[in-house]
Amino acid sequence: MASVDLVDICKKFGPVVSVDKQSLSVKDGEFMVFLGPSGCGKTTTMRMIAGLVEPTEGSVLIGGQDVTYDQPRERDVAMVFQNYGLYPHMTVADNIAYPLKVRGVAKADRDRQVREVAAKVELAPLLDRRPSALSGGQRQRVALARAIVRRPKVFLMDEPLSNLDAQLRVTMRAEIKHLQNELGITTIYVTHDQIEALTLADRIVVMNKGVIQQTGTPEEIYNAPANLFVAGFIGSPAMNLIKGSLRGGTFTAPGLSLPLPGRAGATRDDVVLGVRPEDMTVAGEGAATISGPIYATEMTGDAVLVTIAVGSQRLCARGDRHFRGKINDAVALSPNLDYVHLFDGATGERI
Amino acid sequence: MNDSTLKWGLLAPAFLIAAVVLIYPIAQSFWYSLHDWNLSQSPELGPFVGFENYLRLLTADPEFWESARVSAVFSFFSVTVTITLAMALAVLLQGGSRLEVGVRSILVLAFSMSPALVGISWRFLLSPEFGAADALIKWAVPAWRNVPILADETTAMIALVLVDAWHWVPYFMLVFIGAMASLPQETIEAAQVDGARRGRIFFGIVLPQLKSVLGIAILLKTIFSIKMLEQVITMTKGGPGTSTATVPFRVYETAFRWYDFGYAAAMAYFLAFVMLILAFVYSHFVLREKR
Amino acid sequence: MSDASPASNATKARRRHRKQMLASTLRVLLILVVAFLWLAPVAWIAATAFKAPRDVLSLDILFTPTLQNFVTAFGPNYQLGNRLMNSTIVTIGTLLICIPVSTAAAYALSRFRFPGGMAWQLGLLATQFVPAVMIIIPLYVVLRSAGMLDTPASLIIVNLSVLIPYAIWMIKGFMDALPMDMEEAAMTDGATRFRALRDVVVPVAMPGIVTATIFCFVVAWNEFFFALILSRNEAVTLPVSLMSARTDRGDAWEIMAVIGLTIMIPMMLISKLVQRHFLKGLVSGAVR
Repeated sequence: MASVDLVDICKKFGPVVSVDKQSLSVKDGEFMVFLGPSGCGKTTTMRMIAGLVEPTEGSVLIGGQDVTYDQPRERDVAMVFQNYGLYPHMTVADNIAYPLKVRGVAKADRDRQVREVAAKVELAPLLDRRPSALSGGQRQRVALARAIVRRPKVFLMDEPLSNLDAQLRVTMRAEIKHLQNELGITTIYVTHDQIEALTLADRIVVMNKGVIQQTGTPEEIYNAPANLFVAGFIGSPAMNLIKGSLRGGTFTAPGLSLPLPGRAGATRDDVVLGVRPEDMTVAGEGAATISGPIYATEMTGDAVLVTIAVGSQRLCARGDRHFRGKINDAVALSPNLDYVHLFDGATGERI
Repeated sequence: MNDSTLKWGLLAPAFLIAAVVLIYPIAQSFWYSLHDWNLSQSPELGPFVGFENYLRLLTADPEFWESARVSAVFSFFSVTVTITLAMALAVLLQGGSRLEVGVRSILVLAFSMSPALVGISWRFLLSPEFGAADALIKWAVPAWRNVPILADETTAMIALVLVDAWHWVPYFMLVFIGAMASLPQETIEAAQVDGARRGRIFFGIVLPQLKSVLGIAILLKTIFSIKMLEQVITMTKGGPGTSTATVPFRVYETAFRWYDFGYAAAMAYFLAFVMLILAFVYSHFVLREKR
Repeated sequence: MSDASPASNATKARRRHRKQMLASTLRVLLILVVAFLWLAPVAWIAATAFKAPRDVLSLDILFTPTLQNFVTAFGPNYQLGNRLMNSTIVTIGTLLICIPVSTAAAYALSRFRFPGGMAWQLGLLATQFVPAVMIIIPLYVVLRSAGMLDTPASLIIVNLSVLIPYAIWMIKGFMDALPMDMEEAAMTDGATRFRALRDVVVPVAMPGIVTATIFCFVVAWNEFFFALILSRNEAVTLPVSLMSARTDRGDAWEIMAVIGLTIMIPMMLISKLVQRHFLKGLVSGAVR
């Protein structure tokens, strides 16, 4: 068990900068999720922690020790790969036992530990099978078992659930969370799925184009996005972002003006207002400040997503599931002003 | 052990062996080609003569150019016949029925025969008095009754071409069957729905998609044909006269019958030069395929 | 469709059926001709091995089989036993060196970057275009002055010049297609890179290595040209010994057939494997 620190870490592949001088601390026992679109550098960052990729600059510390140039095997980390990386020529038991075997653990000891771990991830009846005879979820469990069998300092998981079907993903997600909690091992988990990130993480690192955008708890990331990228990336459906300006504490844009409490008297050009669909309710006309004709309504089961046209913008609100409106009916949306975000239009930073 | 030690360590044995059995001989051959050296006269390397061997080759050796002509004729016909027949047999035998699979394995057996055995066997089968194939041909075509197949310049060349085709057709047939099996089935089905006949589907849909495989096969077979030596040695010995004496056969005779190593090395280099040109075309094809 | 009466439909179907029958009969006939053209020569050679010399000269299909030719072939004139031993030693020796060395090099070339980049790959390909005669001239000189002519060792050395590049190319092609995550898993599991190679990469790449082994086996076993030049009496291999049947007191075709059969038997025994692997190897070596 150990903390993980990245100091000014940088990775270039030829002229392409994959990770650009980033620093980060993961606390001992923490469940840290790296979240971002594909190509944002999250996997490269994880592979540098694993020792599979050597950083161009900067250093990697595990448990306070500099391991930047150590081989993967010297770091005492365990990794679960996207395609599991199971050894196809070995049985499940041999797969799980392999990390112990290369460390010279005696056979009897190995067998006992393998059985223990297999029981924990419900693989006991499958120990003699080959990976090719397992389902996707079972393979996932073998990969997990192989990672936890030797109690490493750090778990690394690279999109471990992305090859599973939706239902299994939810089950495995809970299982991973439970296991991590029980073992208390520092875990770094890479994903592009925000739900996975929000549900699993103690803290989330949002990355884009090789740069860390925000580090924080799921609540912080969700409720106080640090910039436009994080605001737009987290949340489904995505946050409404409206370009406009601030005039004496009132946000104005073509077709709407919204007085913002707590911004009294503030004047600023070129700002972006962000409000999540779930922070707006659908009201009758005139009751609120944003109104326009209905562009589309989408029934999602637990709610109805109502999109209205305001000027050239489209705004989406999460309406009551009993809401029924026809296209072009005029409605108004009323935002919860406690959860309205403002960003600088030029830098994208939160104001 | 770090990665750098490991990577060179793993490559080193192969590289050292290649240095001894490939790089050294290739360089040394060139050095020999610049000398007048007959091993039967002196075990030491003879006098340095610069490019004189090459000059002799290009200007004063009609026999060499005769062998170049023989090689060209042989290569052209063996490539044409082999590739055409292989494609025809691929169409005929591409199915999965027991008959087709069985006949395919017969063909593979023929291909896994030693080239020397192929040559000697056909020399036996084509010999005038007791050759079974010879008798069969003369029974089928009475007009050829008096033609001694391997003792006539034209028929000896035809025999060489056909025996080479006999040896290589199975291999290229399997290459083509493999390529056809990997074609998207939808294109063929679409053509069927569009109302094309079978011949039309083959020439209009299948063959164009096999273009790159076909190109590579032709180039490969050209290289194999130019290098082909075993069957000349074992079947015709270059004869009758010099009618089937290909360039590699001449190099072989010059080196190991007359021991004129300097001149033989020059001829080998000339041959390599021609192959190198083909190698460029070939690697161009292969690398473009990879992209 | 509109005016098709049941009767005319039936005629149509019948006509079509007859046409198909004709076509498929023709096809089967054609296939049988092909089978004859490729099987008959091999069968005739195999039969000749069991014929008394006078039966060889007659073209009768029927004859009284004899094993006398095998006795003669293994006798002092032809020394088939010795030749068989030489072929076996040369083939096994070649494989024992070629396959491990090529596997190691293939892994290095597949997983690491080397200075020169593509030059290594092009070099491997280029070896296919070097004429055998060019290689053998200097090697003949060297082996002669080292007193190694007419030894199995010299044949093994020379065979490697052809087979190592082939084997590397083939195994490398196979390894290139293997996903990296298995060996990465092994390395994070605590294995050294070399151990990951031994425990994970080699077992998983085994089909490719087997393919290369079978390919090299067939080529080494059948090799003729190098052995013809480098052997005289002691190290003569089976394919070269075919020539002895040709020159001794006229042509002893029945002995040639015995030797030929001896060369072919291992190929027949492993023909299933050869079919599956040898051709795959050639294809991957050449086309990939």
